[in-house]
Amino acid sequence: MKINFYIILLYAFFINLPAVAHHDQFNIFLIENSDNIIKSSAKTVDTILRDIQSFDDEIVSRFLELWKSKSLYYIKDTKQVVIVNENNESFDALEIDGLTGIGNYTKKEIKKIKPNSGVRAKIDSLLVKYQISNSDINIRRKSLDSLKRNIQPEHLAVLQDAYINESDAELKTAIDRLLKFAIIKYSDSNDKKLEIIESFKGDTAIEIRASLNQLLNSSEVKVGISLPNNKNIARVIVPGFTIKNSNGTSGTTNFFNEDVEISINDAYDKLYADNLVYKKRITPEELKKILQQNIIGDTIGGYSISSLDNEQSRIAAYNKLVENNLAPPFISENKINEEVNKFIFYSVYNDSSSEVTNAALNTLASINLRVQIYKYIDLFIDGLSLASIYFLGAIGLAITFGVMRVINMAHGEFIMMGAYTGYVVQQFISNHTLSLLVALPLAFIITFIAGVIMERLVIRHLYRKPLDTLLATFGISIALQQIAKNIFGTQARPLTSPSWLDGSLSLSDDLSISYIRIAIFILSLIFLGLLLFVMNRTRLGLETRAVTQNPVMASNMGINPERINMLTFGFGSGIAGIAGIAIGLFSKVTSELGSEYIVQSFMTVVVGGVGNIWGTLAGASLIGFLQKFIEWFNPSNTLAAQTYMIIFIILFIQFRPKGIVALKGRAADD
Amino acid sequence: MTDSINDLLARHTLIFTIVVVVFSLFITFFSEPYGNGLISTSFVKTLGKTVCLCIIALAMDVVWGYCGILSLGHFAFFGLGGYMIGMWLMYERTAIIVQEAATNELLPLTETELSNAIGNQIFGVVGGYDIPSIWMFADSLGLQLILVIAVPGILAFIFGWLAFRSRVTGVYLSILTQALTLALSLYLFQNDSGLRGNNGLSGLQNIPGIEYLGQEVISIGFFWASCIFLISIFLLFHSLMKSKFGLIITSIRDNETRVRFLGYNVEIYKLFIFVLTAIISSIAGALYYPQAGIINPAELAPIASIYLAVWVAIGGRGKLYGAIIGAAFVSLFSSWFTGGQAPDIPLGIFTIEWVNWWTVLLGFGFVIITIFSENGIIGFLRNIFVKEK
Amino acid sequence: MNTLLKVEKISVSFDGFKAINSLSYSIGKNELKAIIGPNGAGKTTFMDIITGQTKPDEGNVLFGERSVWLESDQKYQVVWDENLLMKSESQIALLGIGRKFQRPTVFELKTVFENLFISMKKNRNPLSVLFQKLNRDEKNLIEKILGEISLKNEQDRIAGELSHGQKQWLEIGMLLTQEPKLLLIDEPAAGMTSNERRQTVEILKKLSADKSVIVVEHDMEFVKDLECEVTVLHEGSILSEGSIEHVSSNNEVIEVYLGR
Repeated sequence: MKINFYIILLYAFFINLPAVAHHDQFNIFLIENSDNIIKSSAKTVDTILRDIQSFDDEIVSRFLELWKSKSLYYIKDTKQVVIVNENNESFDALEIDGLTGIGNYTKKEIKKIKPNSGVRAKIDSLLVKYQISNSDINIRRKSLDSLKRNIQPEHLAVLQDAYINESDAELKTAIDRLLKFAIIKYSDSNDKKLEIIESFKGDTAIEIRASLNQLLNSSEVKVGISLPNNKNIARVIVPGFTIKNSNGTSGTTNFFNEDVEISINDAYDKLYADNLVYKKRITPEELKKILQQNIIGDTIGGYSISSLDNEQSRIAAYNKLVENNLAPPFISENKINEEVNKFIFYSVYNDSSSEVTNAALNTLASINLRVQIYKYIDLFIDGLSLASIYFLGAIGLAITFGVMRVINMAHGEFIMMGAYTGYVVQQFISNHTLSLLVALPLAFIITFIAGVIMERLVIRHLYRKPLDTLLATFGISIALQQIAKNIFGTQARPLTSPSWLDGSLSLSDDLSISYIRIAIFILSLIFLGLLLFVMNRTRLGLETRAVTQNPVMASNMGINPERINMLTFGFGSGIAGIAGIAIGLFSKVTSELGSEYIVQSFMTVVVGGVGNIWGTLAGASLIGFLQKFIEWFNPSNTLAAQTYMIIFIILFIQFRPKGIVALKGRAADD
Repeated sequence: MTDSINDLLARHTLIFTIVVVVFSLFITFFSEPYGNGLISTSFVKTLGKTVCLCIIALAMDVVWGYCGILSLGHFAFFGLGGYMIGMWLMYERTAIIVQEAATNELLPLTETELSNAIGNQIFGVVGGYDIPSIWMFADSLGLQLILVIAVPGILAFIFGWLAFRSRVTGVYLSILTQALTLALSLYLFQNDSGLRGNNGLSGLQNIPGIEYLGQEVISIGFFWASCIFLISIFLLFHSLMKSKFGLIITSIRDNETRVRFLGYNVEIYKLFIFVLTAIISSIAGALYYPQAGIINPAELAPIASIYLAVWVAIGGRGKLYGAIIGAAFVSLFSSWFTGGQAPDIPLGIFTIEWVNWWTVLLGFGFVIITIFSENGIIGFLRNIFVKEK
Repeated sequence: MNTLLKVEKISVSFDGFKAINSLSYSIGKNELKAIIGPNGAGKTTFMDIITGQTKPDEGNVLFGERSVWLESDQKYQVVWDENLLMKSESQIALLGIGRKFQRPTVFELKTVFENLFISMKKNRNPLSVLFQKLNRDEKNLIEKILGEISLKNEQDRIAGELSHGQKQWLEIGMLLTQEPKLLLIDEPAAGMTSNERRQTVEILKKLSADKSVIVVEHDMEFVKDLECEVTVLHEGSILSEGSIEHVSSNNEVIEVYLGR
């Protein structure tokens, strides 16, 4: 012991004299209080925690951390508090600073110090104070995070100090916010609360909303003859009629929420439980049970059993039993209503100040307004991405169906082929960015070739018969689907997006856009541009339009319609292949991938107006936005949304058979 | 000349009737309950179902082959018929079971208890026990049979009226009917559609009131009912298409505008055919699903209706017996191949397993038929055998 | 008093292109009139409007003039039975307006007889059609019409097998069985031999004995043979009206037809 002391003295002399001096005193403090540290209790710990604060911050926080995490030991003989390093079967004991060795002990000679949870909580709340003012910013940040999770009234003062001392701007804001939450939660000063609630206006952070909602927590259903005057009433409850809103007020049942807060029967039971009525309600089950207990021969209370197949006769029989004192009296529905109506049901806010709760309601309303706006923006973005997806799926069709008037039911299978191409390429090239760069042109080439082959072998023979084309391409569609199933199996194959497409662009707590959505949106814009360019600015586009408008004239002018049809079909199919990769990135690749999109794709083209790329854009937008809009009414049920959307489209076509961008009469060319 | 054609056609109906009756008797004499049991009950059911498919193929042929409307929605009507009859079958049977269970109770059940118990049995799988209001007639066979006709009839009427009125024709109409089918099947897939979501209706092979008869007898009964209905529909369509009405229907197919300028209200004619065939499809479905035992929304998926068109096209559209041959041929072959009964073909390193490759064969085969023989198998056979004409 | 069809200032445009521009036209009972004009003059669109296939942007199409004695005013008042703009194609056809298309449109898969049978003036309600059979009078009528259009020996042939000219006649025959009051005939002579042409002129002239007939042509020679009043259409409006001699001496007409 003495030797150690000199070593430390020596060491301290050269390095850090004051700290060592502290350290020395701290060791003395530990020895003096070792009994209470080793066998701590919630009572004794307070003194230690008070006294320990006179020591150097660093050593104290280190000590508290070790104590809390059950990393302290003591030597049984001397009761010296130490930390240990396990060394084979023996233990090297060290002083708290972790530098000064004390000696080597066997397992039997030392023991772990295990503070109970009450003590740990007290240690922790003191520890917070040390950590939040620690010189290491990471420790400060960490302690703030742990505070966020569990903030206690005693932290108020700590946070206030920390706020003043904090130098990092970002952390300072975070502390400020936490401090505000703490004040709202624990402060006794209504003025302070009001000020903070006011300052929250318009801030849509989820934690702010949570904190305000917490402030607006209200009691269980209470009942009385009249409303109490001295309470902060949250809401008046009408049994069987009103619902509870999340902000503690009451509302009436509506389309979105039909769950009343308390039913009339439950309200009566509540009255009975509160001794406000003296007769217990007999439930139908109880009634049935009592009837069953009183069967005499074929009768109950004089009524034949077979006649008791409805509520009225059961009640009549039961009342007979009541007359004979065989059962407690039955409370009729009218009586229940009457009794319940005599009383008033209500709930009070946990916070007794109506000024505070009103302010919170007010602020919450202003926040919700903004949240609502964000939701609309989010809805818009949702619609936009769905529209992009539909556009990608339909744009190839817009060419084959729109320009060539060929119904290609196998279009969905071309999308699927593209997606599988992406998957197969990923099996060979593990770098996802690179594989995507390889897969995109490859998918185009493969589906282009498939499209050309199909046009040559099948479509060419059926140009005059659109319905036959529909059926023949359906035959190809089921064959291709089955072939894909035979090759790749029925399970979904992943097409993994590159890591830079993961994650999302976060605009607020309620508003974030995943990068993949942005990518798909941009991709569909590129497609649109590419297509407009090809159709309006290239030889192929010019010739395609010529063939569409007047094949005879076109061939007289040296354009080979067969070649043009072939290329156009290949081009449309190739685009489907690229769309397949885009669709595969956000949904799993299966053999049914294409067929999921085919009907929507056709509707997109038809709704938009055939023969017009802008029409397809309009159609995709209408369908995409509409579907999201309908989903928004009933988010849990996307199937219903799709159903209603399709019905809307069917009706829409009735009134605008030629689609949104309709071309009239003979001028139906461009 | 005209008379001899009529004679030939009249002979056709006679031949057809005789063939179907003889076939039915043949099956009956080899069945389990009335014969030596060479033909199993499950095969009788397969045949009965195939006959129902032939009926809807007839309807499809009339609406498409004769009237030129390529409806991709008639199988949805078929499914609706199945649902309508299935509601009664399921409700009534559950009610019987619940009432039997209730005899052990000390008190007779009240109406609420009864309906809750039935509701719990039927709708427990979708987490409910309230019986939805669309089941309000489910306890009455008569009303539910009326619904078999009324529900698809009204749906077809509304849809057809809207679509024909706004002159939606050709592939647009096909896409629209497909959309209707998709909407219907998506609706039925929901759990709160009131029709048990994707669980569908099951246990339909048990006919309430005649359970004591046993499946082998019931299957023969349904088989005969299907055959008789097939004959009547064949005769109905045959005489309809032979009349001036039929002449106008096929004229509408060939040149709708001309018919309109002759002063015919084309829309009403189309609507008539559309609704009539929808109702017949629905009745066929109502005969089919008690033999199948189960119906779920997947049955109504758009692809089923396209397959229907494929059958008719393979058999030969515009000819009633073509539709029947197509439906029987393709559906029986399909169940033979996909049932694993067809022998696999080993090709050295690769074996063609028909379970996996039948659909591919069907798809490509269909493409070939569409390109090379517009009138399907019938057209192909006529080209071979009727050379002298 | 005896005007059968009156077209008042109709205009129609397709995506900004004025196909018909404030056109007025009328034809009396049992009158034969011809409309000529170069391609794109709006002849077919004009017919489309009368038969209800295209709805004009403005203007009126009235059918069936009648005089009604007004007690109150002690004089005759002119009323029109029908405003064709409110009617569908089939309703207009039932009122008695028959149309022959530019290309012969007959039911190619049906026999000549069946083609005429379908066109027969009878109840067109589907339920009554279900049970319609031919009676002797109707059979005789069809026989008579077959004679008029020189297709008596072809009645059991499939219409698709007929020659181009025969198809044209069959279509006219179909119009006749319809028993219309007004016939709109679009380019009847197109693709006919000179012999067939002469026969067609005869048929048309005979028709105008008890029907109003509007013939649309761009062949001046054919129109000359019809010997009737001629209207020249150009860019959607009337350029000149009168006898064939009158219009063919009009400078503007000459320019339109020969110039440019």
